[in-house]
Amino acid sequence: MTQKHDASFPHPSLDEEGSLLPHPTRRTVLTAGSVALGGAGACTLAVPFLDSLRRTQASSAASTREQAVMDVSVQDLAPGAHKIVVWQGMPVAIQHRTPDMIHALEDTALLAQLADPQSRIRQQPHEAENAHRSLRPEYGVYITICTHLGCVPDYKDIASLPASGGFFCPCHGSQFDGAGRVLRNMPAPYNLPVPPLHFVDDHTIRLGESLLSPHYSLNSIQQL
Amino acid sequence: MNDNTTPSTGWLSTRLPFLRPLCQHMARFPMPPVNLFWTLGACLLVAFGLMFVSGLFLSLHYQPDLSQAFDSVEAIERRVPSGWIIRSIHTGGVSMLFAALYLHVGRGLWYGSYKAPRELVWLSGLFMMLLFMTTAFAGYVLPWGQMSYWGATVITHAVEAIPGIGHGLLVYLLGEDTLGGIALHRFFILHFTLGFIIATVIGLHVLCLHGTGSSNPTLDSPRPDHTTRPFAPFYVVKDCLAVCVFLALFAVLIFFLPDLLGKLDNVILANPLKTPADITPEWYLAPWFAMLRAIPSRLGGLIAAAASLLVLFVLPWLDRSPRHNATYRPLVRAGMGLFFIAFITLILAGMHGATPLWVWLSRGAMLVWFLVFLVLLPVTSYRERQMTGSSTQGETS
Amino acid sequence: MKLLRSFLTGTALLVSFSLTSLPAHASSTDEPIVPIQKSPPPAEPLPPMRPEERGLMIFQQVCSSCHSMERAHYGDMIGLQPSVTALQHWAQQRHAGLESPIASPYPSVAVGKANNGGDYPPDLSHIARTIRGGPDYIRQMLAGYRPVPPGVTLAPNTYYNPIALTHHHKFKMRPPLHEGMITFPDGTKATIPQMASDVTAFLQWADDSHRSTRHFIGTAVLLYFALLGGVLLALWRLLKRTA
Repeated sequence: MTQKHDASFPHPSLDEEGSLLPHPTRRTVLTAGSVALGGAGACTLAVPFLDSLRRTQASSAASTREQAVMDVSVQDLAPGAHKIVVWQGMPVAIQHRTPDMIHALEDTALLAQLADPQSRIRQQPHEAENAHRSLRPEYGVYITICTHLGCVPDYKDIASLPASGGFFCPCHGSQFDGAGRVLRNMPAPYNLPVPPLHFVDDHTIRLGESLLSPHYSLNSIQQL
Repeated sequence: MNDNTTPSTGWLSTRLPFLRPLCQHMARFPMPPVNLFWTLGACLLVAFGLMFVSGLFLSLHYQPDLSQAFDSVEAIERRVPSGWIIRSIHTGGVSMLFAALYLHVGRGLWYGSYKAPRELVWLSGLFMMLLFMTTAFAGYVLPWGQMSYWGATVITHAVEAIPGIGHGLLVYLLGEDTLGGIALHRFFILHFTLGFIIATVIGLHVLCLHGTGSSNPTLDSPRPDHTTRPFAPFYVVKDCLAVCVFLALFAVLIFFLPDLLGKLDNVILANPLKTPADITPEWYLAPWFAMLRAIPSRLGGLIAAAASLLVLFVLPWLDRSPRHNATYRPLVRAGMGLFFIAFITLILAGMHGATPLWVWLSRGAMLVWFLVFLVLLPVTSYRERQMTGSSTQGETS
Repeated sequence: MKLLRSFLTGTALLVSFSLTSLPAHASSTDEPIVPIQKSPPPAEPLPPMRPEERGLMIFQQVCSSCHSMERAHYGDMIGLQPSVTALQHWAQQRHAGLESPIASPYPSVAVGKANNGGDYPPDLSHIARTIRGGPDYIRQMLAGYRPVPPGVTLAPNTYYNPIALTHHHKFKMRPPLHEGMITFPDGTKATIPQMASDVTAFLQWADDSHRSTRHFIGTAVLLYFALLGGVLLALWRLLKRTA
């Protein structure tokens, strides 16, 4: 306990208190020190608690092991029909288009209603940046998760569109055409994503692997 | 708890006008010259806070389901990141909390903190102690290890001793005939909810204390000291210092002696067909377990254990002497000393097997318990009131 | 390195421990699951192994053929065997995954008893804590098998072990350890006392895998409180005189 004032720690802000006390600087330093130490301790204590919210090693191992590649047979899919498969926990709609539907996708009246008719925003691999927004015109494959807030749009005909088929999101009414392209002035900002895929043979689609754009994955798209 | 006069609180204090008077009240709260035993309350508050937070985080990973409870606790220990630290805070914290709690109550007994006008402080504190004991018991069931299961079985069957309705009440409380999934879920909800209830009662306890102020241990001494200091900053720093020492002991317990107070058999999954060889409760509930065991009749044991706690509730009216501090009351000093020895004896008796030695020791300790509170304190207090009355010429309380 | 690792797991920085230590150990990872007869070239000196790491090899190759460790998952052994692929390989050999408990190889308790002279091989998850005598007993018992002394007759499938506590030294566990049965990649000679000691270290780790981290954090916490307590004590003494 030294009696001399510590000149290197002047605290003019505490003068009103300091004038009453013989050792204002020493007291201020000790108070600040214990508050700082206590605060640092409390923050360190928070580390294990926040850490425990991290996903466990087991579940992260599980997510990497999750089947990334899935083969889907479309042999049973009649023209005009569609089906929903689950790939990596996401619903994927596969539609078998009739020639009328393919033709309808290029209808200028339809294109005029679309927000991104040319598929300029990267929501699909390059090989699907075409009029029918798919690898082969007769098959459309889209992840049916609305780009607005993540609801699952239903596959249904939309009255304002020509007979291309379409998707309608029940949450906020976003409408998409048969190629998953969002209409103008809808809550959803982007087209429905196209998963990486290629055709193993004429009747089998392999989801999760793109031959023409091998680096395309769901991480590459604008928004899921 | 600083004297909030800085301009930055102006915005808040116009919108919450009571905030500044409250802070000023807390900061200027006049403290008599109390000793280090008066820091235990702060230690308890910190211990409870740690239990509360660690419990919340454990409940995120715990599954109150018969088939998953044990595995989820093993998963917390082995797989949840830092889960073992959080769980050791929780399992070690209960011992630290009860150690501080019993010392806190013991301080109240020794220094007469239960007396008028602090009856409500004492009663709310005792009520909180009962809540803590219930919470600890319910929490101990949750890992669903051998000790959890059999401890819960033994204690819940004590309820059966209540004549007439015992069995029906037990089945009603458990939700089924034997301890199972429904009971486990109830224990979890009870344990979880009681945490919040205790938090509220702590608020009431502090509120009651701030109505009357802390008791002054020097008042009965030959040289009473009436000087007071404002709570901030001196007692804030003193409490922080005590909490610091308390937490250091806490750290020694959970990081270096984790098995000191734990029961080994609780790492084995509950098996309703095999009772472990030595079934004893955790130390903080051991005194009442020893009482249940010391009396041959099941109902008698239950009544004795309940009465031992109830007698504490009526203490302010059993001891109405104006003198507080046992240090300056020779008979009470001896009585309280005997009571503390009896309490420790009961803890040890409860943790040991039911050998005749321990059973007789716990009977003796129970006798001391009731004699001190039901005979010694009222008699001494009567004599002291007579003496004070004759010296101050008939001043009535 | 050990200290650093303890720090990483203990204070649990958000960096994944397995990722950071994976590249450093990748060279020694695939050894434990290769068949026993394939010995690695002794010429290249490999990093020394901790006793519990050797113990895991013994558990994988010896103990787990009768005993379960059901509270632990295959993936939990990442602390001793940083290679995920090696662990996956081990789990797959036993028709399990990384997230499956290390189950008993026996389909039922009855089969386990029948194969072991009537005693079911106990689960090893917490054996170091729960067995009478603790780790010292395990270590001595594993190395405690002796030839049958004259005058003692043993039932079939019973082995003489004067250390063992059950059945009056007529032990039902067949002697698990044999000289040189395992080739440790770090060149440690697989003598019976060595292996008994290593596998005991492993069983202690399996019961309480945070022991060293706990001590490290505990020391840091106590140092912190010594510092904070010192500052608070100085402040308190100052206030005692002034305020």
